Amino acid sequence: MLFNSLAFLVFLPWVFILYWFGAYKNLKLQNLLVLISSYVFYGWWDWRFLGLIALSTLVDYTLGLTIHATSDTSVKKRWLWLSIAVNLGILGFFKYFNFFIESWVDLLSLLGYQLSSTWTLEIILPVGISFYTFQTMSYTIDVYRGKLSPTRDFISFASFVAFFPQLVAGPIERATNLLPQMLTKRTFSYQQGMEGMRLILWGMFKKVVIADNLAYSVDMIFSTYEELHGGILLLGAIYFSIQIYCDFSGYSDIAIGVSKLFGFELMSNFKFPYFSRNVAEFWRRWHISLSTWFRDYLYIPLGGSRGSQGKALRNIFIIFIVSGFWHGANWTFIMWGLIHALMYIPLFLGKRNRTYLSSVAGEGRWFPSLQELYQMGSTYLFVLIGWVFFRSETLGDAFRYLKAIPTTFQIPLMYKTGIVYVLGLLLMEWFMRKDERNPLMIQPQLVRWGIYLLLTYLILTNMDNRQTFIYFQF
Amino acid sequence: MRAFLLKISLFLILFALVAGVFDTLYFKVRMETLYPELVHLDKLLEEEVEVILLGSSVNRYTDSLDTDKRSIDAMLADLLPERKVGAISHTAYHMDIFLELARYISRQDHKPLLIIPINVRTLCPAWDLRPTYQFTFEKHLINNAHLFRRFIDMNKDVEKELQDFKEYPVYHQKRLIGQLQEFTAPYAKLTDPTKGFIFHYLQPISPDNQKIVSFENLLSNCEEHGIPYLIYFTPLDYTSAEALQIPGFQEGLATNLSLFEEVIQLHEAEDRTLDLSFSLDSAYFSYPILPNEHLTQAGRMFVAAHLRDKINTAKALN
Repeated sequence: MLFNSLAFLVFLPWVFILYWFGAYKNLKLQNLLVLISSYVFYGWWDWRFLGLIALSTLVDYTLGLTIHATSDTSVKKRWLWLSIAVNLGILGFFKYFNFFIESWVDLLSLLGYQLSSTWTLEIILPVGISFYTFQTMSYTIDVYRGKLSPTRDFISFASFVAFFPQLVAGPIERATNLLPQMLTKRTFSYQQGMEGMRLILWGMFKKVVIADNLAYSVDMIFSTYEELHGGILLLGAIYFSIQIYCDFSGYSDIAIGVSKLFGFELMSNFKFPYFSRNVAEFWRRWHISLSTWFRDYLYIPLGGSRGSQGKALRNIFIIFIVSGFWHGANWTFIMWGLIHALMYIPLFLGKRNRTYLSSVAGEGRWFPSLQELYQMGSTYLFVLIGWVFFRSETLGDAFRYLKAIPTTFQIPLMYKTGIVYVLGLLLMEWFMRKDERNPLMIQPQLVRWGIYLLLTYLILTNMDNRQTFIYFQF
Repeated sequence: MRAFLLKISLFLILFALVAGVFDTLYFKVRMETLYPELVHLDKLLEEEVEVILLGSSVNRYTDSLDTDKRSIDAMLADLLPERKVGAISHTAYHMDIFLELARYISRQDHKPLLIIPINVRTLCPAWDLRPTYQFTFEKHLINNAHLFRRFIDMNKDVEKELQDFKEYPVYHQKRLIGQLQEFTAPYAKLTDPTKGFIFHYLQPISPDNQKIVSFENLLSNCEEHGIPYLIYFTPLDYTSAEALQIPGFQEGLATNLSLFEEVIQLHEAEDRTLDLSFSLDSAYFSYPILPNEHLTQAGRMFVAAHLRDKINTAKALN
């Protein structure tokens, strides 16, 4: 089920009413309702893949208890590896099987061996598999590390794995954050409810009005880039950068907002990343739930920045390349990760990767300083190059696209309308940049309500060009 | 919880009101861009145009060799200098949207003579069922539909609708010969004219097909509101079909045409009907797509002249 669909518009109030009025007094019943709703939400797309979620749930529930019950570290480790193997095995089969086969065939062909047939399969990628797989893995890893006690409440655990607001496109929640909330009685808070509604409204606006309207130009430009002027190609890259941001952060905002309506607090996933002053700050503001997942469960276990500089650099490369590969089985994503690694390493070597840990650009001021403008502009430019690889079908397409940009700068009018969306978004976000969890808190209240009405109107009237969420494919 | 629900309810009520006002203003300002045909119709009605032809691309299409690029309604206007003639035409227009336009006209003071073309190919599933040919948004604009009504329509399962459309079965004489996507652009480029004729004219049509129902409603609406009308069957390239010796072509085509004829008989509108189906040979047709009813300048003039004669002679129209 898509957030931006009529089905969800009917689904959400029903679940809300049943949750707060029907099952309010009974935590187990509330969690059962969350579980059933989540399976309906997911099954709406394709019920056959519910089996995969159920399998992942069963395996990690059982292994979590087994790991906890074992005192022998080597046995614990064996059970943990079993959990990782099952989860990554499912993910690997559905997402990467064909990629590995094709890459293997290409390699053999380079070495002079031609295979007459390849064993690729017609595999449908289950929506959200990368998200819930990582979420469940965090549970067994944290149980293994002793950071979390496993739960015996199967319904609550299954609800944690399949929690519908964030099931298909994140934020990838940690068991340490979400599971305790599942096990605790929730009470409705007016403040939390209103924050949730504001997040839903803002997320829907970003997705339906901005991302979906830019999608037309982006699809057109990237599919016919060989015939277009450099100026249009530059615009296409800029539009995609905004499209993917609004698409994904819009989803996250809606997910966090919907969760708030049910009394849950999810982690922030985006914090206005295009106002970052270097790429390290960008990664603290972009897809935070994934970057911190890789930091905690991959980078640090590999040694992080401890040890020799060579080892630290290796770890940085690994985390960025794996992050790219997580997005999909294509060399373009790996290149995207590599580009970010190459941008990050100079900051790491110059010990500037931990600047701007908590401040925002233009802190305490209306406008950024010239230096901040330069920093934000240059960071954005490098990020933009990465996005061209991310969006292109092949590496060759990306290189040709980038090569064609510094040519003539003629921009036909039909492509200029997107600039309104880009500038409008950046302007609004600039004034909201201090608190990503509480957007649209504009004073006075009359103006705020005017904006609510306008955004709702724009959402409803733009729903006819509805597109699915980009991150569903990952 | 109570305060939260109250606030949300208040917002929804306020939104319903504001959206209504906003919608009205928005469409008033942007109608010229959103739906120029409707603005043009308003202009025709304001000028009290006496004859309005409702048409599809058949009205406006011109062949590359044509020296006379006038549409059928422009030719008719020149042939009927004593009457004001206009047209509302758009690519792929069909009986459903003609019905909405006629209902719109019936709500106005001026009641012109409507010329209603029957193009039997509008029954072909490629035209009848194509999601982009349903003109849902236009119908909403004609009927001044509220935002919520539009919203519900906008949120149909587009992908499923498109999939059903592509997989729609295609028959020849009760024998399944494939799926729609093998017979029509943009999914397939049909180069075999025989298949084209079978697909476009010989598909089994039920009497409760939406286009037939709309035609019936259109006639009823006109009669109820005192709007005079003239029906004409557009010329078909039957000689090309005959040359291809397609089994059962004449019978199949006659069966589908008879669905409209039955409605005409029901409304006793035979004297207001002009049947040009089998009146022109293939030299009068122009073919970027095979087959269609697009006419050369001679073909358009032929139709315009016959319409003029019918308007001048039919008792019911004078």
